[in-house]
Amino acid sequence: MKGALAGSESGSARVRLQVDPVACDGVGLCAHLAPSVVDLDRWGYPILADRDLGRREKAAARRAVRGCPKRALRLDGPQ
Amino acid sequence: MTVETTSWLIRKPTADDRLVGPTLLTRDVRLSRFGHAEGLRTDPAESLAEHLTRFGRRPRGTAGLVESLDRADLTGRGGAHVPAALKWRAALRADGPVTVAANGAESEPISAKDGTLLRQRPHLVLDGLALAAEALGARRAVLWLHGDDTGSRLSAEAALEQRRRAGFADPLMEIVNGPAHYLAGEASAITQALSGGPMLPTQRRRGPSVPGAPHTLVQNVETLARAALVARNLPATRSTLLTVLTAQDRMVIEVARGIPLVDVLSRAGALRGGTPQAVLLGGFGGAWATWAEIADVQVDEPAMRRIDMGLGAGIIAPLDQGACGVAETAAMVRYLADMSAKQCGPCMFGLPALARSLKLLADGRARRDERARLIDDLDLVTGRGACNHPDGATRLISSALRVFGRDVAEHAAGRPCPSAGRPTLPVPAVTR
Repeated sequence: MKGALAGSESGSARVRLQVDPVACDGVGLCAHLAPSVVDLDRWGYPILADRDLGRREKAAARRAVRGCPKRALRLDGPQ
Repeated sequence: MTVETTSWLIRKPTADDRLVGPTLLTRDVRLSRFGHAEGLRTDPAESLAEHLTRFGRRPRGTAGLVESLDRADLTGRGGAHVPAALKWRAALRADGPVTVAANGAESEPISAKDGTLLRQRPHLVLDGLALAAEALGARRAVLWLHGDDTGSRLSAEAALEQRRRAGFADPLMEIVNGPAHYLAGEASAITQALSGGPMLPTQRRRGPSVPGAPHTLVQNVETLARAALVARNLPATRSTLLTVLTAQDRMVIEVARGIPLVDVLSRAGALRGGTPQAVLLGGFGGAWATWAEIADVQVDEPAMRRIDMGLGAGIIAPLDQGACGVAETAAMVRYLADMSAKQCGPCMFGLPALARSLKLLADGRARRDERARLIDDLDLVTGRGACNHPDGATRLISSALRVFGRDVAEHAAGRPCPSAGRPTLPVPAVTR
């Protein structure tokens, strides 16, 4: 969890789902759209997989990015 | 009561006065344990005439000053200890308009060193702000203060008026009152507020900066005062300002860098009641250390960092043997939870959950799984806010679990310390 935000700062070539914690309202749609990448904590806020995403996971993550009503998610890295 | 001798922790003047160097404070002060830096004895700030006699006129700020800051190894005294040169270079690279903010919004409840500096030597701070504004070609220069710190504001206003009357060739400097809130000194919130937005922290990670975007340099007032010494080719980093909180009172002192912590406390009279059980370093946003591991460590940020500790904004609070570290931590975390900007879920919900668990533990009313739940929540909150506020709280709690581990176990078993009901640290009241 500690790396949820840190990964993007290293400029690595990894593909990661990122959340803007200010924009996020804990709607939780992302966990339905990308269950393999997103867990919800006990307050309903997303905990994102802290690892490079596979092909299927990337597709799911893209759905989560598009589906977020608060536009709080983004996909970082080469797509 | 006042400590009469001027800067008695600095090495005594020798024939080679350059070894000693100028002090930032005119004298050490004793304050009450609560509130801003109002001394028990108030004396007037150093006037412009006195300031000029001591330091002479400031030179003009040029881009070359950045190299001098680098050579002087000047780091940020607001608590993060980021090299000043690094931040000034980033401001020089910005192609949009630059604002320089001297951050005097000392929001850590224990800290009073910035307020003391502003009350004693406002001109040294204003020199630093003017130098930074000139060196960076800033369009705007601001002294940013905590909303209810009237003493700092009056001192700075009077100093600005003296400079204006003397016809100083200063850039325009304005005083801005921030809110009276723990996050009033948070740099990203200051940046957003000064550009017309809400006074709220912004996201830690930002995208590539937009060409022509405005840039704000936020630099602590002590750091700027030291930059004013650097600009005059005076030694600027041989001392450090500290706030020492004891069970009786609070002192703001200036000590030679690198003397052992035990000496600082002994000279501040903080060891008269015996050795403390632990020391809080860095205040509410800091961490606990046991007396054994910290007593002989040098009061210098690099030395502290080698053992994973830090002085933060220079706050040292020894905890007496009889006090209860669990209850003290619970009270601080309750305050930190109340001071959340409530923008990010993990902070808005996580900090109150942590505060509740700690309070139940402190009172000896913990559920059976309370400690495990607390540790789970620590992991759940850490690193998930936009700013560092929640991480500061989790770090404080983790240090308490380590330093007061035996007490935590006793509390969890329903046997709280006798003093648990009477925490001693000065936690500001919050109206909810």
